[in-house]
Amino acid sequence: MKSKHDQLWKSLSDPDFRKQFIEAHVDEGIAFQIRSLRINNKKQTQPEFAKELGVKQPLVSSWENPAYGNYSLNTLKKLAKAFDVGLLVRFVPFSTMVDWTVGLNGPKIAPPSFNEEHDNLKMGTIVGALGESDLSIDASSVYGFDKLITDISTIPSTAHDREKEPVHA
Amino acid sequence: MGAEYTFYDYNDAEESENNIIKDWLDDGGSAANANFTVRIEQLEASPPGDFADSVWRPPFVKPLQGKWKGFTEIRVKVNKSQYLLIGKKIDTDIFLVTGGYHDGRGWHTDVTPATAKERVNRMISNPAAYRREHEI
Repeated sequence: MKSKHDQLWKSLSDPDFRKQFIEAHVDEGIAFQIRSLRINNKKQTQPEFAKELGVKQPLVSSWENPAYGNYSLNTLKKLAKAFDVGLLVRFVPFSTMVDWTVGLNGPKIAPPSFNEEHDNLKMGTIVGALGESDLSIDASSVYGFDKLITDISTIPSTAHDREKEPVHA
Repeated sequence: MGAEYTFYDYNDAEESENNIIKDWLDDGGSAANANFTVRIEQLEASPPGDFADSVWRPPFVKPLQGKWKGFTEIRVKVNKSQYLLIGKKIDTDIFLVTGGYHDGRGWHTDVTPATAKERVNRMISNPAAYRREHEI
């Protein structure tokens, strides 16, 4: 059986699939992330979150519905600020969407807030100073920390390393 | 970090040797297939705990009642048409057994609940013959 990456890439050769994939990626993806960030990061109910944002609870419910698909950029910016997470709205090659979709995981769905990320980075510095053999904590037990380590380890340390990276077709 | 959940498709080992779910998705049109692809990938990656509890329920999935009790549906709406996949969720495995659509008056699926149950039993008792990891 082909890998999911190859299966998805093959499906994208169909123009109808491609067009709907863009819509689904945004509509489904945003709804899922809003639900995730509210539950995981804010630990708030829909009414509590609505009150914080000064909107009605049914609107929050709509935002978390994959069939809604009517987000404005202002709404997305407002939500990013409320969750204290970054927001990227960019045109990208389909390969980027494929990589995102098949490589989806918890921290991608519910990214850490700035403060969580900041604390993780500080812990990363301490872990680095201790050295791996002195580790007395299970890093994977810290939410998102295992992903952070993976990300950091894949960052090229020098311009020379960067040049050696394979270029995706 | 791998997927937290795994979706399986029913494979018709006795007759066509085909992946029934993949066939249904291909027949149902590429637009619906794109929505199911994104929904399933997200559900597979949903982290356990409070968040999983909050997405393995409407509007993302819906536990069915009545004669379909014990089954779960994943419904997508595309261009004013509604499609669904029906499966059984056992712990972190989801066994997809059939697809369905709404024709404006009611829901239609190719199989009865009894056949759906039989398919789940086959997928569990003889995985090599009757199930395939979900294909896009």
